Amino acid sequence: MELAIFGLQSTAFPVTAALTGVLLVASALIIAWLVGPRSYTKKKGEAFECGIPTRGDSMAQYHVGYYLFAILFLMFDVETVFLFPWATICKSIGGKAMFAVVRSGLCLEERSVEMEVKIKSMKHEDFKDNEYIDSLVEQLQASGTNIVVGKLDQLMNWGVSNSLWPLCFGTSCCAIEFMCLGAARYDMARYGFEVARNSPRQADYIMCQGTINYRMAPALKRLYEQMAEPKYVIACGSCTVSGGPFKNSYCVVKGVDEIIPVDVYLPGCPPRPEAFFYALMQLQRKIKVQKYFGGVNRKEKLEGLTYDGTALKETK
Amino acid sequence: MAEIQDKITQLCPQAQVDTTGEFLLVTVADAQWHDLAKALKTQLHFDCLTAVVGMEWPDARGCVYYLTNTESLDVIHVKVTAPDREQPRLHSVVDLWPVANFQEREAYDFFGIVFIGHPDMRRMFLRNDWVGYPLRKDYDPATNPLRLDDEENEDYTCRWVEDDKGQVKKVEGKVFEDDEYVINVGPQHPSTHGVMRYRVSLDGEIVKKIDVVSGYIHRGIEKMCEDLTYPQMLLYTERMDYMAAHINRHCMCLCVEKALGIEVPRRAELIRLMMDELMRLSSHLLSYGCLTMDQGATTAFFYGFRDRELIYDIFDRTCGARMSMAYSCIGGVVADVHEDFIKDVRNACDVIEKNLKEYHKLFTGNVIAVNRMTGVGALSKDDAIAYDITGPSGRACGWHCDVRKTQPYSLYNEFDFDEVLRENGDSMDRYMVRMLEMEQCIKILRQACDKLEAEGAQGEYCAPKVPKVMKLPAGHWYQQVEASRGAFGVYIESDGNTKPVRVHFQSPCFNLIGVVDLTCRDNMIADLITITASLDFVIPDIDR
Repeated sequence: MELAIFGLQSTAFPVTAALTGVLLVASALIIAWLVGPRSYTKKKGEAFECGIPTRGDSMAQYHVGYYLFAILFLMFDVETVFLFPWATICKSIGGKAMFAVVRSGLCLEERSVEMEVKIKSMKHEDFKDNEYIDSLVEQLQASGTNIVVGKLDQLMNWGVSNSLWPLCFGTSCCAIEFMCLGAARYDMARYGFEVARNSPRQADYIMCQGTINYRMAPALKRLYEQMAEPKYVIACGSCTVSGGPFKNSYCVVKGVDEIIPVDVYLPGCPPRPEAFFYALMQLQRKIKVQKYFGGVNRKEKLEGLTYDGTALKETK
Repeated sequence: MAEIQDKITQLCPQAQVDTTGEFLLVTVADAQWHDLAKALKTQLHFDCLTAVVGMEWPDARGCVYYLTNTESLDVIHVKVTAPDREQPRLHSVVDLWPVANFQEREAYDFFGIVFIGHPDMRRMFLRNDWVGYPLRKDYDPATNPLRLDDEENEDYTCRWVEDDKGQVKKVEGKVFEDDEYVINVGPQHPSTHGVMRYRVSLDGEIVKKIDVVSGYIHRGIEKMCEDLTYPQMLLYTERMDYMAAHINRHCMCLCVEKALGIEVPRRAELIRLMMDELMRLSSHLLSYGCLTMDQGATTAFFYGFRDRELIYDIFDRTCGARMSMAYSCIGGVVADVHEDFIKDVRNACDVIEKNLKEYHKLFTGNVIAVNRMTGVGALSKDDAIAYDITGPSGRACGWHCDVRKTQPYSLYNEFDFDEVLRENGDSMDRYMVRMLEMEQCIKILRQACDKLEAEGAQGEYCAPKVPKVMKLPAGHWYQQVEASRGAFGVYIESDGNTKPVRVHFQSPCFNLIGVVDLTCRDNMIADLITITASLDFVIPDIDR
């Protein structure tokens, strides 16, 4: 084989490739394990079945052709394959250059970190009507923050708050306005919100659009629990805030906060697209003061289940 | 009308015929109902069952059936009462009009009326472990609190059969056989256009049967209306089919105005009509956007939504809201149009007319669109009538069902426009009817602009003498309009008070889900998405 094009010895290549692969995966897993908030529930472990409980064995037999198709699809999906060519030139640019990149990213300056909510193009003075966020920031500042940890938190929050992916969850009118938000005039892609996901596994927040009734309530709860941490909820429209015009109905949930925790309430029937943006920015502001490091977010345990490091167990 | 009356008394001497209302009202007991129904269908050609309304009177429970003769356009209402009030049982008419399948299930769900001979007597909208029947007057909401445990899947169904001696018994059955391969689509699924759920039985990739599970957005609007006055009720009409908000509200207003004898100023009626057509245009653009996106044409979706913003701007300036406008009121509209209204509408018409040509270039002729839609999910004209599929989906089969033409309301008589008809009834035709109807909307809007200009810049937009306290005369009142997805009807039963006894909304989308099984059967599972997108239903309109 003509492996010389990579400038590597024929024996060194497979070893390097294997090591890089193992290290990449291992480091990603370790960092996620150390930093990532998580929750364990019975429902979360289930296969995603559009919001209803899975029935029977999900290991069904398919025609072999589908597998070939799936593999082909996956091959195109693995964009990370481009990482390898970069790795090969790492040697020529030298270790110092790589260190410089990492150092500038961490910004090791000798001063205390000030936690504040920064959103580009929007000053705090124009946007200070949220007492809850301000009090949260004060609380956090009072406890003091380690420089490195604080900066790392800021880095994480910057990443999370600017790539919030919603779950496609629209039950009624508000969903149409949400579609307008995705279309050309309002264009939520400007904020990094546009990647609407159909599976809760890939979504960061549920924008709960429309009335939730008694039949839908268990499904919504399940969807919420199937989302990966960190997860957020925006109650969008009067129906999800309080039941709205359907409050007197025999089968309407009087506000989704009866079922799942809500981060931002967005009134309106339906809210205007500008109001959607406002709610999303409030969510961004909330995220900007989050702490990941130190395990503060890793406290959610539901329905009498505990995780002992290997498996879920029911506590009595 | 007298002819029909004679014929009915001849067919069924026990029937009472009431001619005082707007429509002929026939009252029969359940014992004579099935025979009369058969005769009405075969001899008097009442081939379309528009709605089955479950009812509760002080002395009985039963149903009101609306029947339409699609040739002569005669409409009659048949009131059928069950012999036992506490355990009401009626004979099913599913064998005569297949549309009754879901309609009767709804009556069972709301009132507990059991239909003898119905093949699938399950609940329609509520959880299958629901206790009691919510639209009964003695229903206590405390019996069904919010529950977060999962609902059991409905694997079993039941039928009630009557033997020769008149004994009725319950027979259990299965929805799917044990060896069927059933997959679940929804409720949280992007391609169902809302919270709809299908259970699909597959053979390889071919759909064998679909069980539609509805009710994930059922809000009990009909029950809530019973506690509201007529002007308050208008709110809910806009939140059922929110893509036909103006049209539904218009329908409710027309119904109340008809009952109270309020004369609406011409200018108000003209403005309402224009708003209806703008709404229809916006709804069809959304339908275009969603249908194209379901087939992977994301650009086309953006184009559809770009044009809708023009219409939203007009709503915004006149009504103060982009959606749920609350613009029509009983007697007229709440405010006059904004000063540039006519200019804006003309501009929107010009832009959309130009863009429509582009849409055809972009999508209609596209080989993927043609292959995926032509000949897929065809519905015959007879099936369309039997399942009461109105609106663009019905017209795609060649059925003249445009209410604006068959029973003209508002000022539609004065307008020159064509009813768009196609013949094949497949997904392509349903799509094309919508695209061509948009051109007709533009035609109507342009004529309306001229007429509104002739009326002057300002004028009377609401009737001067609208009673503050509205009491509808005792009796039943019915009005039908052509909404974006088909014939929308409002049925009000009044006892002369400020609040109605029963309100029923006859929603076009509810009938559309009745043909999902019929049209998707023996097609590929991927075509399920195209077919349902081309049927274009709005889920809150189904569930109400």
